[in-house]
Amino acid sequence: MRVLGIETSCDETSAAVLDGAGDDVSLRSLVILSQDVHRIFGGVVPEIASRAHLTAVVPVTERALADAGAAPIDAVAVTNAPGLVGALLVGVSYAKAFAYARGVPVIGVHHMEGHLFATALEHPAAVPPFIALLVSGGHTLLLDVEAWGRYRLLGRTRDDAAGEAFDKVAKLLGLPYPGGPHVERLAAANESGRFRFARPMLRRDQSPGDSDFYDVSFSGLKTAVLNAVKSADDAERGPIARAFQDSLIDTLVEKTARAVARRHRSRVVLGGGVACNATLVAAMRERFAPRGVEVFAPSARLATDNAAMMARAGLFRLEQGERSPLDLNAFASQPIPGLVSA
Amino acid sequence: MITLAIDASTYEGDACVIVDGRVVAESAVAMKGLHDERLMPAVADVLDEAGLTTDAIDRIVCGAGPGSFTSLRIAGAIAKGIATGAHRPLFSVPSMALIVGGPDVPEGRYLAAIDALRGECYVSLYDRDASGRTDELEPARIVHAEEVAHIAESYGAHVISPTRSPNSIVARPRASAVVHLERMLAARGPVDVASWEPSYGRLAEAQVRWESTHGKPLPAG
Repeated sequence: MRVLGIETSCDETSAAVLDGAGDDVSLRSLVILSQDVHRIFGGVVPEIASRAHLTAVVPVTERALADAGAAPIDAVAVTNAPGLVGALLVGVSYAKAFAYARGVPVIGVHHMEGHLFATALEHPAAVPPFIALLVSGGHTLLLDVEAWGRYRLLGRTRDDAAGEAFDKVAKLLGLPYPGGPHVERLAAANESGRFRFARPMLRRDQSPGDSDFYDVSFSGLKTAVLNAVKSADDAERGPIARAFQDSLIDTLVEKTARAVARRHRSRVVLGGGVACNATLVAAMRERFAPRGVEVFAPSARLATDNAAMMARAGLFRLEQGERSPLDLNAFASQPIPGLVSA
Repeated sequence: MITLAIDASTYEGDACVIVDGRVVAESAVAMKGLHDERLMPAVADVLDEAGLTTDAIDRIVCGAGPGSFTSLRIAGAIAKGIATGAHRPLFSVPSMALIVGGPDVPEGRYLAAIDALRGECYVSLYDRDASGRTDELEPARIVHAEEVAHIAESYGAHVISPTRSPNSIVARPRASAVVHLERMLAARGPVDVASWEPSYGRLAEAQVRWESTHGKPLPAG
């Protein structure tokens, strides 16, 4: 089956084409157009993003189709939740009409389910069962992926997402948006030890039944950074960045380790923009390698928002016999389909 | 000539099929406050009712606003999806022309008005002749709502608007009005499907604030 994927949930307009059946999938094309204008505002402006999607969606889709070669598509998969509703609606409306005109089905796909599939496009062994840590600007989710389509939510952030914490801390440190790469670079150039921030929501006495056993919280960490910045001089911003990143990564690694141990998994799959953080990936590998647990992380292109992962998740849903009606709508938030209670 | 026309400049969306100047199917849907998105089903419904597939369409005509940002984009994205999916040309017309050119509007000069929120209206001047043919005399601009009646009077025009107000004719944009806009369509020609966007009428609020603070246009990109 050849699937065209379309993704417009935030500030990337993306289209991709893949061929495949089951886990035997070949990515034929992937086009991602990032909207740089939001850097000026220090965050995504929904109305500007939505307008930009409408003028980008056709050239991006046509380029993806052209790059993939002449074979006709069999279905269109489009992100319909979660995200900025105005932005999502551009992709959803375009995808429905395009699929209708081509006489093929359309399937609405949950953005976070797409992230679960992203890594498998590059690493064929990154298939269930695995523990998934999805860390982006909008989400921080720790999931046990028992099988494709069967997800157990273990933990999530109670306030700021990991990527949001990077952006906010970058701002406090006078670094540009998006903050992740800048904070990581500054942290890498500094030794740890000068500052130390508490590991949020991480205590030895937590037990698996506790509601905060897997959950994370980064709002307090951000406040700790704010207080440190206020009482420090400019030369100490590097050590502060290092201490912040150490705390955030330690927390994520420890929570993931708890999930791996309790769920008896031998694979960890990372996804979302924060999975581009090489220090996080290295820390995960260092922690899990002695235990024989493999850690898979996608390349930057597939870690951040992209249509390839949406096409892949869409292929799975289509193979389950699912189709979306023409009244498919966009939603700012929606639970991942196939979520089983913990 | 088979035309698929759609508009969603207000909180009501409209789709219709026109075959050789005759409206063969038309459907109106609410665009706001719904759990489902109904404009695309309406497009499919009018094509079904006309007994046509998108392959039979010669062109798509989309209302270009101004009006509700999100609704305009839904209509625009659907129009682009069909235009590229079926490889057909896309045309656009001002949404206010779809008010004046609609059914049951008598011959005359009209100041079409659409609510622009914040106490303002988009207005545009039109002539409609005895055959129904509708021509734009002045393109859309934004004015204070209380000025609309006075502006219409200065032109010797009737106010026509989807919003009820004293001495105005109530009419909403109708996709079927495209039958009366052939001269306008011929003059405007097809749009570039990739780069086309509706006339939103206003910039995004964040852009207005940034440009006012910095005294220059927001860089593209």
